[in-house]
Amino acid sequence: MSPTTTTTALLHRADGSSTWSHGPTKLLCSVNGPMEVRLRDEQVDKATIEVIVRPAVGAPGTHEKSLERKLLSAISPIIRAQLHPRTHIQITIQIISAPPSPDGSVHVLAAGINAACMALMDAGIPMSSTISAVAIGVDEQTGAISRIEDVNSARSTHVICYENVHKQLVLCESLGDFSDEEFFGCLEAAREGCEEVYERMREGIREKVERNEVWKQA
Amino acid sequence: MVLNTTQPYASLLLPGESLPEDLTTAASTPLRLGPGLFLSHDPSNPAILPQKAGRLQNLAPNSYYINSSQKRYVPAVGESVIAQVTGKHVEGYKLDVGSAHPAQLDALAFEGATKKNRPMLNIGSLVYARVTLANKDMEPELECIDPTTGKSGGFGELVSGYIFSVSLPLCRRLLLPNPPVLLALAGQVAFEIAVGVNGRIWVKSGDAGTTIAVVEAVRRSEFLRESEVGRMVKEVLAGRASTRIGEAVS
Repeated sequence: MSPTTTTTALLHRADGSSTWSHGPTKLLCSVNGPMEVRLRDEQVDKATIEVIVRPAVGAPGTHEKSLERKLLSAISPIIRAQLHPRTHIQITIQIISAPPSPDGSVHVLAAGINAACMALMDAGIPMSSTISAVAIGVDEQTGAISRIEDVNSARSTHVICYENVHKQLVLCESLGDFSDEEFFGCLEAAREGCEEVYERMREGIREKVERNEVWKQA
Repeated sequence: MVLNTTQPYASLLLPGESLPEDLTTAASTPLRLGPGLFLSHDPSNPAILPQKAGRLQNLAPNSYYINSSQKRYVPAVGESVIAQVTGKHVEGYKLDVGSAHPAQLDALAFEGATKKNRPMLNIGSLVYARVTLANKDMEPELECIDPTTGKSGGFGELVSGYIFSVSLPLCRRLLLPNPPVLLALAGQVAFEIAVGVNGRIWVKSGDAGTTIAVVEAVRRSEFLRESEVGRMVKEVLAGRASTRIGEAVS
């Protein structure tokens, strides 16, 4: 299993930032807000949340737009946007490296959700919970269900995101042929995988808090 | 749940995680929830929960908050901030405080100001002001008067000098009694400093080199232990150029 690493607070001009690396996938996420909102996007009772995904190479296209939509649907429910009406919270994901297309997006979506959650915490945006995501695959040959290392050997891929307080399913993007049993097996595997991801997040936050408490030491 | 004192980071919390103590059984007096905590009305789990990632702190006897670090300022009543004038109109000024919405400052909210005699601030001027109104639905409002005395109390225009931004926790630390970096600097150079809890600091001194050194020393002090601050300040001051403001660098 490839190691997962995460860091916070690396961008000096952003309110919050993070990186998330898992295997060959590495993303950088920045969060700005609550800040001034464009009049046409203003909502009187809550903050307007925007997600932007930038590919490693080239200009963003429909593929990135689709990722943005999915990320937004996973992230919006946990942000307490009603505390900051008429403001704008901007989440930008820059893909630094990812496995080659077409299915590298499986890893990007999972890592993107995790990176966004870390960056939101780094920025101090009020949240009611946290979310973790993993990419699960059903192997072509063996039918084994596990966190995907090589997308090409999987008969079906599933990006599954759980919310960490009540362990509720937040997002499930499945691609390929799979049976009912395989699907529920994937949800089970994802539940365990998300626990590990959550532990990684706690480690990342612990590092941030320790760094901010150095001044208390004599 | 009983507070688990065997785990060193028991009080480190992520948003939504259960608190290590049941605060509702804690005290007989009303419980005060400070920044970072919210009351969740979720029917399946009504509870006091953190909404930011950080450490749960207790200000005895019944005040709790989450100590977290962020850079973006959200205004709260009573806080002292450094604001920059971005617009003028008949009744007052519009200022940038670093929050999502611009703040209002009444033209007469200064010591001894009358309709005939009022301070003239220009666009770009800096003021040290006090937040008088701050809620999520309205633009924040400021004043440059100490409410208890009616005098300026240190509030008002900040003339000349240099302004820079840092994180909010660093500003809060600089406003505690005896911050090590300011004491170390004050022992060696002369300067004026104003710290706003909105993440902005204003410095003024006799020459540019000293100002830059003070700024650099304050920035570097954020992640240093108290014992390392003295050495860092010496290094920064040793490296500064000595030019008086207005003189050319030779």
